[in-house]
Amino acid sequence: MDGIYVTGAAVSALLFVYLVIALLKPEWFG
Amino acid sequence: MTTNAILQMGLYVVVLVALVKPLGAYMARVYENKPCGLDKILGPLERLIYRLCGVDPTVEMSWKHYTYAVLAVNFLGLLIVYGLLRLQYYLPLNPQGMAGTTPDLAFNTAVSFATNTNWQSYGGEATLSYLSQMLGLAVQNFLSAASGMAVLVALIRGFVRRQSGSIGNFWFDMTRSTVYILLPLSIVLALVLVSQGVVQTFSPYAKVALLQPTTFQEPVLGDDGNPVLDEKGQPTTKTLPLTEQTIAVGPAASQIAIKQLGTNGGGFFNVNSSHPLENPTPISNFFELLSILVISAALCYTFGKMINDTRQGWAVLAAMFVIFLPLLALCYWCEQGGTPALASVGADQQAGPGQAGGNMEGKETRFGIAQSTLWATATTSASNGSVNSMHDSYTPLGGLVPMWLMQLGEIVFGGVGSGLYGMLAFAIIAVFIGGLMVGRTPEYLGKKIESFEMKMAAIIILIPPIAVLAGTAITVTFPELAKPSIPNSGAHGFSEVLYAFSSAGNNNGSAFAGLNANVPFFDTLLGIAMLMARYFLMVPILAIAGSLAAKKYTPTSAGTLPTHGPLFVVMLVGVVILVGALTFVPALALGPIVEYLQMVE
Amino acid sequence: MATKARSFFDAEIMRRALVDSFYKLDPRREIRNPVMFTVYVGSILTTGLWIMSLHTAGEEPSWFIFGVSIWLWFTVLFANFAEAMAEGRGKAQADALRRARQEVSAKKLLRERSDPSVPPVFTEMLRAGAAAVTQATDLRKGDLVIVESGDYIPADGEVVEGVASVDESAITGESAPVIRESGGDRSGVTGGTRVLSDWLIVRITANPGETFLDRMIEMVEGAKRQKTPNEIALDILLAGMTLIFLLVCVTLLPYSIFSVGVAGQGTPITVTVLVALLVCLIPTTIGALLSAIGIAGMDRMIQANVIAMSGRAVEAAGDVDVLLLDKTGTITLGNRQAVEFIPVDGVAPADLASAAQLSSLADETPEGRSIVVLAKSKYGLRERDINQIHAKFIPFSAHTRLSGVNMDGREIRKGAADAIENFVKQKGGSFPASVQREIELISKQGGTPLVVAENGKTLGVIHLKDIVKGGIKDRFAQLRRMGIRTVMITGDNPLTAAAIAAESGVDDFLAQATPETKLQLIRKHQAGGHLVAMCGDGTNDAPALAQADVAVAMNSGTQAAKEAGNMVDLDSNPTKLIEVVEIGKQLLMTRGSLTTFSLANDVSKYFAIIPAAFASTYPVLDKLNIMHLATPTSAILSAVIFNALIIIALIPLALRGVKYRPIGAAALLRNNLWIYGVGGLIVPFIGIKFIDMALVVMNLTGA
Repeated sequence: MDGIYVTGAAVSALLFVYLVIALLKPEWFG
Repeated sequence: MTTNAILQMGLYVVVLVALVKPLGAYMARVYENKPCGLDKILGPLERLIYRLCGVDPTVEMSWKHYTYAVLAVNFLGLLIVYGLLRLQYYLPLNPQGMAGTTPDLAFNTAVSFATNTNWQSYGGEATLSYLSQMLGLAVQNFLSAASGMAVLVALIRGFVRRQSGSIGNFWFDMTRSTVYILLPLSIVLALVLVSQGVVQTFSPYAKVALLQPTTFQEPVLGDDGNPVLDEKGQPTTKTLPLTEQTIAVGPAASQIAIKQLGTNGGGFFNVNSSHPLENPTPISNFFELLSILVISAALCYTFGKMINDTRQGWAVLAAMFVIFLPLLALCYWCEQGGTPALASVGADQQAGPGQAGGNMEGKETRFGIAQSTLWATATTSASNGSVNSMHDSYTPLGGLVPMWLMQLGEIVFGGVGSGLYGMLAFAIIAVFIGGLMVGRTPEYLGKKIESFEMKMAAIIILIPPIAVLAGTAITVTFPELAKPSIPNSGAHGFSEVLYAFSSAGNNNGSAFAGLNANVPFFDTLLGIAMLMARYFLMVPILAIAGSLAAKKYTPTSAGTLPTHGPLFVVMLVGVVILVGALTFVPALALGPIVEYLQMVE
Repeated sequence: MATKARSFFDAEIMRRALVDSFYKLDPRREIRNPVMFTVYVGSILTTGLWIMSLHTAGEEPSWFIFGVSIWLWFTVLFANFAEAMAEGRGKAQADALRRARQEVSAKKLLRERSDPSVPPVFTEMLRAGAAAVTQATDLRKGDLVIVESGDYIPADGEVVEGVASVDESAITGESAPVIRESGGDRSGVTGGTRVLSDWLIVRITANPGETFLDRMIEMVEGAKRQKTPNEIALDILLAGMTLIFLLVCVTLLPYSIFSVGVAGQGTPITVTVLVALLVCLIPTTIGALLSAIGIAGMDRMIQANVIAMSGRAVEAAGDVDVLLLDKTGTITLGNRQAVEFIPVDGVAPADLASAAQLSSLADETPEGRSIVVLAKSKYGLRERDINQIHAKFIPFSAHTRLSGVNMDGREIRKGAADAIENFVKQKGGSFPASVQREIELISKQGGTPLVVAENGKTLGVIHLKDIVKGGIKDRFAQLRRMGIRTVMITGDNPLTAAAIAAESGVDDFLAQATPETKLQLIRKHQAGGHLVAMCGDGTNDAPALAQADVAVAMNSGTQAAKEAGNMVDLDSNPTKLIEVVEIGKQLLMTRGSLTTFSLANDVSKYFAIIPAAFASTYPVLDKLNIMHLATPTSAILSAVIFNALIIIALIPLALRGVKYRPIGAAALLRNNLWIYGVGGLIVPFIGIKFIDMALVVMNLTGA
């Protein structure tokens, strides 16, 4: 179970960073 | 609803609405530097302030310059309060000899007052000297409120100006907010309060003989400070007589006036406006209640006046009332309805001539259900946070109302200035979606809403949920840090934590009383939440102001989305409710909603 | 276009789109769309969880994780499919255009021609060493080529010499050949078109890869599609919403663990359910269809035979609030027509009509023909053959500014007032004052007076009138309701212009317009914050076209005009501007409506998923299960499946666009709020319930 949580947390952290970039610098993904 | 309750609430709403136009028009004149009637009396004071501070109020500032000025003033204020609290023992006006506070409490309190939150981790009369209250907290009450109003005015100028590089002068806005608006209103209110019996004195706390002397138990402590144990291993206690009581007093009226008017909310006394010396009579209650919302509501008119289209201001105000009134009704209905637990033991919960009925736990008998729920709804819709009843003792849904009003982002009236600028950020989102729906790239008040504005508006709606949800998550993930502070088990314990972060993360400052937040963990985490909620919103707002001011004006036509009619009000309310509901429903489901379902089961 | 408009649901396009939706799974493509990339990552995560659950005891039953995972993949694929469908029609058109761009050789002139009076013959020039055969791809800007009958024009250019008929059907789809000649506004030629007769000497104006055809292929194919400013702004909003919901879902796990602790029962919410919840909450509907909407907008332009040079231009079209329209051809029919004969006192109206008709029998101008027709219809005068009646036609000359006929000693003339006055006085007659008054009256009404005289006698006046196009007044009223001001541009004098403006119902006019005054007018409106659209074809229109926010160049126009504009109308129809504006509005409305729909959808999903997710911890939450979904697993699956299927269901709407009606902004908002806001709240409740019932029937509820 812990493994799943760690993976989930890591993936969502990366996703969070990605979305923040998509919000602040949308032109990077234009 | 009882007729009595309708009359009380009706009177309140009518007086509030009646004040919107005169006060709003007055404030518009203040900010537009037009004669406002008090110039002769207050002008010299205003000019003295400029001279003493060595600032030139006529210099136009860019949005960045303006931002630096706001942040500098707020940061300095924060430092001063921190210093005062830490050093109060050595400073004058401390008749009770209050010791300096812990660093975490000083940090939390300083942040709390700089950000216009006024979260009370401290207990007013038990922790702070008169000097700390007056020079620290009361001054911040003025400055934080004026900062919010200044930023709002800067944003309004962004809408008004065309192809301009500047949004006004912060010193001008700040000083005039304080001198012409907050100060005169506070003086009037303080006098009204004193007339009702609110204390205003430098005397030390009074000692009075108890009418009914009593006794109490105290543990016997050994030399090492630990309780002495008896042969069974239980701590031994001794019985002491109790014949007199200490009555805390102090310069309260002056501070309460600005705490209400500036949507600050930090009480002079720990129990805030339920304290009989802070809010003694129904009349003092009415005026305190009125001052919670009056400036925030009137600023809507100021906004309309300054952009030369008062319909726009009324529309925003209407949206606020459309959210406020049903929630008030819900809160009242839940509290007046009482609880099944009391009903099952045969308690009479009907309102009648002799009793308020309903759920009176944590409420003052001199205010009753109507004045208590009205206060609870008003204080959380505005980011005031003062209380005249204990929200922790409300029924689950009755307590959900204040919590959710905060979670909406403190934009239904909201803090002075900050409430309206938050609402305008939501209006930008509503206009963006609505504008597209009528086949135009969106514009609001003649200014095109483009990606920069969207970026900033997105940040503004994003920050409070981050502070609230993440703060709550951290707390419940590390219960070993939080548990000693969460006395209630079950879903209500969760509600208390969620309430605390909803309050701090939206700069409200009211608390579910059950949670003892004065531990380093909460002091720090809530302090960070307050800082985020204030400045991570203020800076994007000023950025929007700067960007809008630089834009051309787009004249309206039949193809332009009208933003002054009922349709837009519905749209704006829809966006606010939808974002608020969608963000917090899962958390609320695990707190108050479950509590409610369990209660009615 | 060379290919006839194809239906979106053409089998070939669908087949290609299906294949493309898998190609588009490339993460480098997916990452461009924040919402769908989040779904993409969720799909990968749940797939991993499913594989894990096959080996060890997973957090949920293996089949359930598989079910969620596969529907998340479908969600991503459906979004890709929508985009591929939108691109499909453009791709088919691009293929057809590419065939027109086949490798052609060019006959390049090596030096300027010394003697323009001698018609050029390529073979002779080749022999003389004055020309050479090269590949079209080797041509550069400024080169001169000769194109002879049957040759393809190798690249875009400007005719410097010669007149020829050119088949432009490869570009315009119009099979009738057009005339291209040097000088004037018909000098632009497009690479890939074919000279049918005669010859042209063309100066190349575009380097290879930059020609009109190249740009057109790029545009219809969407190869270089950039996100438009409004799309970027919407993307920001969607990324913000996605961030909020990510936060909601991530924090729900600790809340759930804590709640399990305090409630003393149940199991925490699983990662699979959290991913499912996340995907249901983030605005996938608009996220999936956003780029399809944009492409379809460009495509609708192409269906209207307008090539937009950027998506930005299409978007700006929706914002236009001032429309500059040329009078001739847009507001009025191209030609003036006779509407009335006004005789001087003492002349029978039929005599005037007869004389007027005689003088115009051989006059092949539209005005002349309209005089003949009017005499016939009004006075029953049959058309007479000019040869049978032994008449000699006197054609119009710039010198006399008269035309007419000589027969049996009668000299009938018609012409402008001052010219006739001269003619009559020469013959010893007089020019009556009443005629002078009529002339002024007609001018005031926006008409053109033609005076008719026979020998020394003035017979009367013909009232020639600009005929305002039928229905144009309604069209302008419609535009006014859309919030668009119309401004008529004309070379006429202010008096005439005012009369026509009043008759046609335009809001304003610019009389005696010159390229400079046009440019000034555009600048003036723009300074007032307006967005201006115009169309034009001549080289002297180019500065104004470049200044306008939406500038439609006529395909028949010059190269300079086409380069200055941001759209080209292949039909060369100035009325098209109105259609262009509507397409722009439709594009924006579709975006807004689907965003509203997408956000409104979330309410129902909470009612489906929240009770299900916490069923084991707080069974009382089942009271929120107002749809009475069978089991927690079926509830979650139903929400995920609905979320995916709604994308497919809305593809037709995204491609066709929300219908625009000129009923004013407030009414539009109200309608769209009802349909997409309230509809968006209700529809998913019904949809999720139906899917749940289907799952029950298929025994896929996990119960």
